[in-house]
Amino acid sequence: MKLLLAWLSLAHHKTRTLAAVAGIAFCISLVFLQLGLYASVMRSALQIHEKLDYDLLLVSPDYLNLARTGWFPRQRLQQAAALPGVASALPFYTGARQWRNPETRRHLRLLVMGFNTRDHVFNLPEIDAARQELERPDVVFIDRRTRPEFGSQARGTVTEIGPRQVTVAGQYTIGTGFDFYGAAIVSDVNFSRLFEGISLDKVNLGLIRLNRDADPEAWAEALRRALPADVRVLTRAQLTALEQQYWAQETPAGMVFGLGVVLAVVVGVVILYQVLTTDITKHLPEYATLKALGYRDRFLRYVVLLKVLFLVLLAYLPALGLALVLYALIREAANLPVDMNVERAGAVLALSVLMASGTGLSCLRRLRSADPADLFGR
Amino acid sequence: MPWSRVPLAWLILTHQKRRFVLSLAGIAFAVVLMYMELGFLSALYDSQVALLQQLNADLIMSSKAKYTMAINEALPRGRLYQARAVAGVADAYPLYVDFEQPSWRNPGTRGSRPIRVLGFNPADPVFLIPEIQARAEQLRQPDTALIDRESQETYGRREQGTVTELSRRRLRVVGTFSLGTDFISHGNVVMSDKNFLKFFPSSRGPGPNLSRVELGLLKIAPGTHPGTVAGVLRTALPPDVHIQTKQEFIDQELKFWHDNTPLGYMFGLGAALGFVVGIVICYQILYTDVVDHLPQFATLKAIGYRDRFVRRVVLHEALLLSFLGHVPGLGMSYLLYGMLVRATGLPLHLPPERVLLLLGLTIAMCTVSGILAARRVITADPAEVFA
Repeated sequence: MKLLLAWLSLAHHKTRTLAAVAGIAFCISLVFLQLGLYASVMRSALQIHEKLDYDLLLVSPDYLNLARTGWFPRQRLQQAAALPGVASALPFYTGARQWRNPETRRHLRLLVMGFNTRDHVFNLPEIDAARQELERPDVVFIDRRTRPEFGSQARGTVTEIGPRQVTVAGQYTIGTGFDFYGAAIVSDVNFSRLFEGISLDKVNLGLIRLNRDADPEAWAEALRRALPADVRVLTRAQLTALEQQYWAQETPAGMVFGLGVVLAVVVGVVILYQVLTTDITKHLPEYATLKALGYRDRFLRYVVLLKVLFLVLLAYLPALGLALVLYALIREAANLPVDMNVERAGAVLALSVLMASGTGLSCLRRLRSADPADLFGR
Repeated sequence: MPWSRVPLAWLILTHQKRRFVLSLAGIAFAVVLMYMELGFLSALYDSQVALLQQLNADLIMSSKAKYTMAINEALPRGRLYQARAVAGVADAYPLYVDFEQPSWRNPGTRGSRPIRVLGFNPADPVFLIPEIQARAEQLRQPDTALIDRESQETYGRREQGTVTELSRRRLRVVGTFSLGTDFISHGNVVMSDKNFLKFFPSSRGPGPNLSRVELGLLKIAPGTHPGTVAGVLRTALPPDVHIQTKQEFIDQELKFWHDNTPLGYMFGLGAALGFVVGIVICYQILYTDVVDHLPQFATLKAIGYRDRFVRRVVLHEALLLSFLGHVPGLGMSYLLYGMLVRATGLPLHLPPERVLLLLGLTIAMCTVSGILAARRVITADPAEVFA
């Protein structure tokens, strides 16, 4: 009965309901858009870390992000490997170089990553299979997500990275992050050549793998005690938190998108409240009639809540659809990893339902204290 | 008479106080959203050319390979001497820029952060910023620099007298100035060319250190025209340098940021969505008002008032809503801009053009809704409405 009443009440004024649904739907889409953009900045920061095989990370105390890591002496890796829980401690090198577009001859910033090809460092079958190939002098593998402004990236392309001429021997796929529009993987020896003979003793990241069943937290502590203060030991969780904090609080992009999320939520809440209040107040005479007829407050509360839920659910599905379309658009046009996930879809739905219920109930409070006769004389 | 109708629109709108306030709030927030998104968008563009705007130059010489300030491409210093010899050129100043290498140590937390460093000859009036010119003499001392007050908080204390490290060399701050951050550099430091070369000696390419001039700033002789002198310079100098007027150089930079980054796209999308949200909300408000007062409108029609009259009342309502909703939206945006500027150092302004644009958009938004809502009344048959 309540369900039917709620539904009929909505269906009776089709246009008004449609306008309300449209308003709520666009607000929800806006929240999805801002959340997606913010999340993509965060995700970009971690894309590469996700493809690196490690349980614990050794970094210099100057570590800011993957492009600005600072360095520590290679000896620390040997010291780390001496601990019983540590299965391996491998060096990883990162830096920024200028890539020359082979056609336009323009320079663009490229993220270069180097590793010892005898080690398994990347969780990428393409790189694993190509380790011998990477050992050849002045050979690089390019990330397929490198932007087209870099020019031809096909196998066999010959160009310059920094001062050296290089050949593209293959490709892999990870993602270039928010800071860079292009990325490449090389062997450690080639890395040193690209960076004017920098010593491989200056390690940027130390990838620590622990024995099976070893507790990362416990061994992180053990390593901190064993190693001097010129290295930091981070678990994956700590690394994620560090990167996210840097991007959210120190980069203008992170701060601005973060504010965008807050704005979208505030605007969404205000407008949701406004739309629903208007709708409910419309029907106060009907509710007053029901009250006068003898229906209890609880009944009316149910009807209003059901109605509000209907509206939100009706708005949610098209909003989700629009959001997916917008995400696809941004992925294509802006090359950003904007993706929908179940947690976000669920959280937005839950938030919308919560806010809507709150609105509905607050409107009803007015009803409860009202004299049925009064409600008609408006 | 238009004036006699305004009170009717006003009375209808304000009939229910609570709903009226809510309607204004809805419009105001849609307006805030558009202001913020457009604010971010222009902060992006304004910030990237803030430094260029403050350069004392009629013409700018850059390496042909330098297509954006985001890429370091030096030009040979000799070109500056060659430029000075050309008729119409009064002077040529070198400017050194590095934002990749330098690392500033926060004196309090001891953490290091990348920072942009600008080097110039203190005898040259390179910057249009008076605070830099005033301290030029002090910059001649070894290991001294000025720092931008608007640099992000993470760089720490920065007042005159602060001693800290720049790329692991001791440095003393002899003063501050105001410029602003951008999406690449979160802080700015200015020092003499001699100090610059001492702090950052490693060359990125072949040739002596002195050749790493990033920009050549040219002043033309009085009475000459920048375009003409630029033309002469282009024929006189080798093709490895680009000669542009200051405005052309700025436009080139703006175009780069416009064409090559997703940020503009995303802020634009946010603003567009805000506009659509605004239209839907406004429509909802006006439509509800119309339907509520359908008997009254029908009565007016029965008396003999034309459709045109009714439509005009609704449109007046729309106009009132747009103005009254815009003002609190503008106020809130002003406050939010202030907060953001303090937090990020980005140049967020509220130029009159944007206020006019957004006021126009708000009016458009409400007018479209008004026209759509008015259709409902016009199609109403007076007799039916009373039945």
